[in-house]
Amino acid sequence: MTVSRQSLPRSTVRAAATSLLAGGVLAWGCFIEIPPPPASRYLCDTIADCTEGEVCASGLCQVPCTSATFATDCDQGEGYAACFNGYCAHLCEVENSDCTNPQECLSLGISLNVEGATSGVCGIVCTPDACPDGETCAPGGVCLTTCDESNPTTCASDEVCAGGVCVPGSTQP
Amino acid sequence: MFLQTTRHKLLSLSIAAALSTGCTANAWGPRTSHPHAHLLSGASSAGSFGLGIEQASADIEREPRATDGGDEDRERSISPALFWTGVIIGAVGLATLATGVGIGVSSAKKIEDGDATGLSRAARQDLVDRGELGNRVAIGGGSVLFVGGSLAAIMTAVDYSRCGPMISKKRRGECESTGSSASKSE
Repeated sequence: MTVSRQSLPRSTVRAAATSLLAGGVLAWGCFIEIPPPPASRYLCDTIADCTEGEVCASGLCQVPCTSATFATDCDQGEGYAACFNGYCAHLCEVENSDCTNPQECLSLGISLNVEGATSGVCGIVCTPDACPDGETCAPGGVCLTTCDESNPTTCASDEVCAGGVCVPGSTQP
Repeated sequence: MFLQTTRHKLLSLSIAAALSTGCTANAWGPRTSHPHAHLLSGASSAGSFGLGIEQASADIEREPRATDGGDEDRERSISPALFWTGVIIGAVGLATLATGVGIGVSSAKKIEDGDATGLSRAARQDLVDRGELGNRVAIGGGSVLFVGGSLAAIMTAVDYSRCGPMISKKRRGECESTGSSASKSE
């Protein structure tokens, strides 16, 4: 006596479907490390918490720089756009800031992206004694390079010496 | 879904226990390959020629029946046992998978929040390590789930094809009708 073999029972199909579902959950649930946003900074207590080339300032690991040394100190490959108040800074959107507290997105008053969001730089407004050597804290909380109006070459080529500090502008007519 | 299947299996088991049919007796496939099969048929046809032959044939017949019953019982008990082993392994795997996924998801969320509010490099690395551990746990759990699920599915399929004790009422009916029609044709 033989018994005919038929198609698999529903429960087997259900078990297979469960396995597929579990596979989907597995793929969905996989942890993938996402790099931190460029503008974010690691918190620190001491310089030991930061990597080489960084200092612990205002509780954040930051790369020190001056306006004059921006090109060499701030790696543009890392996305640094400016040297702001003594530290390499990233651009940010004022309305949607990804700066790490206590940094904030300080508006540049212009829009540098196609979506029209107001652009700024992540930084901390300066206090009179918080600028690097050769810079002074100008009104508005921005460290500007000091200069001698009798010797304007101390400013960068796209800056002019006005009121004892280098400000954006051109000496060219 | 597993629970539903399990409930279905429990129902099938109770139905199977309630039914003790010829199909169940023949549930484990063809058994015509017994070495004394030709003797049995020969003895039964020779039975009408004398009592001595009939007695001898009865002796021969009784022995293999006992052996077959034992094998059958063993096979019957193995099938549900393996099915439930698969279910238990699968449940353990599912729980492990869920734990791993939970670890990964919570780590990812903490990293996301930390990137927005501030996180030390060491704390972020700890969370990354934890997330990767969650991945390994999830992969391990998924593998165990796959093994357990496969075992349960295979045992269900084997049981189904052999009209074993875990089959549904409908399938049992099919097995019985096939068995009776086969008997009639013999």
